[in-house]
Amino acid sequence: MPNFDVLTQNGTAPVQEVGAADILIAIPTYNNADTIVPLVKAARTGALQFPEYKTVIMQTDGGSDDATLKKAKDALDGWSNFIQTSYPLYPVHKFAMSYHALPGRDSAFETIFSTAEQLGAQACCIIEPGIKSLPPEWIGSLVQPVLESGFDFVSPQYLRHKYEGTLINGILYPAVRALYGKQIRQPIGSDFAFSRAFIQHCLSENKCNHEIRRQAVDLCTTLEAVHSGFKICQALLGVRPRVRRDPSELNTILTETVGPLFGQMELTAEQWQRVHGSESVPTFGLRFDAEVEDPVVDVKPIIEKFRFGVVNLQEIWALILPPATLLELRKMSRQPDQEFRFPDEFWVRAIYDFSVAYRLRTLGREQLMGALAPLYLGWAASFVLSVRESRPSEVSLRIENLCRTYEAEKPYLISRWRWPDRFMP
Amino acid sequence: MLYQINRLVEQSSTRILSGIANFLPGVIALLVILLVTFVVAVIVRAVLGRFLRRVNFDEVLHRWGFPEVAEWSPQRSPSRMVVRIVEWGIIVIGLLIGVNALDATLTSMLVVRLFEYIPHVLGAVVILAVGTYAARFLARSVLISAVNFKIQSARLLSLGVKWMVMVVAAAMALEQLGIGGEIVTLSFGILFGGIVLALALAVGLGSKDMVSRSWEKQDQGDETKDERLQHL
Repeated sequence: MPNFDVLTQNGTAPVQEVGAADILIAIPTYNNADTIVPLVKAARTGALQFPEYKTVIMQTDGGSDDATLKKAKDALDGWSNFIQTSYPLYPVHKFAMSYHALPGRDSAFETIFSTAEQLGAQACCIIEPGIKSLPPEWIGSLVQPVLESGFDFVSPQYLRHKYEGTLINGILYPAVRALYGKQIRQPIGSDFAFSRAFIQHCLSENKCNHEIRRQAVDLCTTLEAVHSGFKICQALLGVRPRVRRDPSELNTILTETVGPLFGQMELTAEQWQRVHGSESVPTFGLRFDAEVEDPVVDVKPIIEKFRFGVVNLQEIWALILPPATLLELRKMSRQPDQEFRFPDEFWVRAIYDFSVAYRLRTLGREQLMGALAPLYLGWAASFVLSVRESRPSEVSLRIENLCRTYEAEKPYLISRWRWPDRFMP
Repeated sequence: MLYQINRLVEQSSTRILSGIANFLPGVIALLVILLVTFVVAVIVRAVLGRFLRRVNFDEVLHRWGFPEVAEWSPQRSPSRMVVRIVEWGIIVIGLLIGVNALDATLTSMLVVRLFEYIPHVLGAVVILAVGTYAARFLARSVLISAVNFKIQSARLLSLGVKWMVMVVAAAMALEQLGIGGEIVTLSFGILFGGIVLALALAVGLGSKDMVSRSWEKQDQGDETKDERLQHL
């Protein structure tokens, strides 16, 4: 268990004084003075939905140098069950490039889990900042399945426009589903809920290595719940109105999402090779009736980046992809913009080939993710074009078909994993 | 008179015979050492060759990112090259030990000098190997990053970095071998400076438009960001 300092400034109660809790609502923060007030207020309103349970709101901070702590404390003035702690930030967190606004998420999760365990909380939910407003119903949607239906892990499901989350739709969701057999729509996310049993398990025997945990603690936690056979469900939460910030480099995003997935594949090869097909997980929460307005996405520059990659990265891709895929990529790059399509079968095989290259260390791992970026952009452009005229239900069907291709191509992955040289000249 | 002639013949015969007697064990030792060396070289060649074939050394080397090693190798097989280097290394070492066994002062000095030079050769080999690996790694990193930033001269940039590192490594290796002395350092300085200047000019002139476009986008505010994909 990590050591954490309890901040008692401004009169908030230390963990020992709070004693015990049934529900812990945890908010990790780092310089979130602009959004923390509505967040903690919504958390308090959410807590009132469970009058029969003792609910504690916890803010754990990574060393904000703005007014995050003070504003949170002022917003919950008079609420006795509010604790403010700090989570340790190590040099690796401070210096590592990350797409997360919250540095040291793994350390924050560990501190929250330790506090939940110390308080003996039956349910713990984590709400991450970077959100303009938090509907109080979210707390209920996340916590209720744990308290009332005995689930151990609740993952979020957001209402998103059809071009949002292309990386989740194109790689993370279908790959996790095909590999581990659970249809978890958002294997990475910002809002989760956990049972006490799951928290105890994570504190005692988490199988993720440090590097993977540091990069993607959310993915690690999700996969830990799957591997260890915990009861998993999803909570429909609606739109997550994110605070706009400068977009991160695609390479960094790929390194911190797809990289950890490939890393986990290496660690759990025995398990996923035994999984066939996939099963849905129960879903709770709010029904989505509203439709989100889709923004305009200009695919031309995205396709251009793909074509530029095809021209310049052949030599590097040849180390990773079999000749048939390379030939197909060259053909694709000659398609006119509006007819541009990246067939699912080749996309899925390419992802599987990259996972094998990750395992074999064919290239440096950051280089590998850099080499994947133009391919991913090609697929994303093709996806945007294919769903441009589609209704939401048709988009879901499109993603479902992709997931089935991932599942159908799994024998290819297993063959390549076991005999990597068979497909290469 | 006859006695004196007889004595001289006897003395010279004794000298020659004792010289031969002194030299012969050394020759025999040389022959034995050479024989043992050849036997050891043949055994090592067979064992090492079989081992490298079993671990698919040629493919492994290709996968590690050194495909051009095959081009320098006999019959395009790096494992053959490794086997030959080791084999000839053993033979040369055996020969040097054998020559030393003759106990000739001149050959001993030659052997000592050669053995003193071996660490420099090994140092140069290590420098070249590390330099080649670093050049390849950096060239790939630059190529991938430049492609993702859509820099038009990505390949040229990558090639420039690769050769720059190779030139540095080659200069260091030559210095280690003691070849060229000041000339190598001087020509390296001129070459390196020239490459840096050429690259600075190429990047400066080539990216002029890119920088101005980037400033234009900044002036237009956040409009272009809306067109970006939201990956997560």
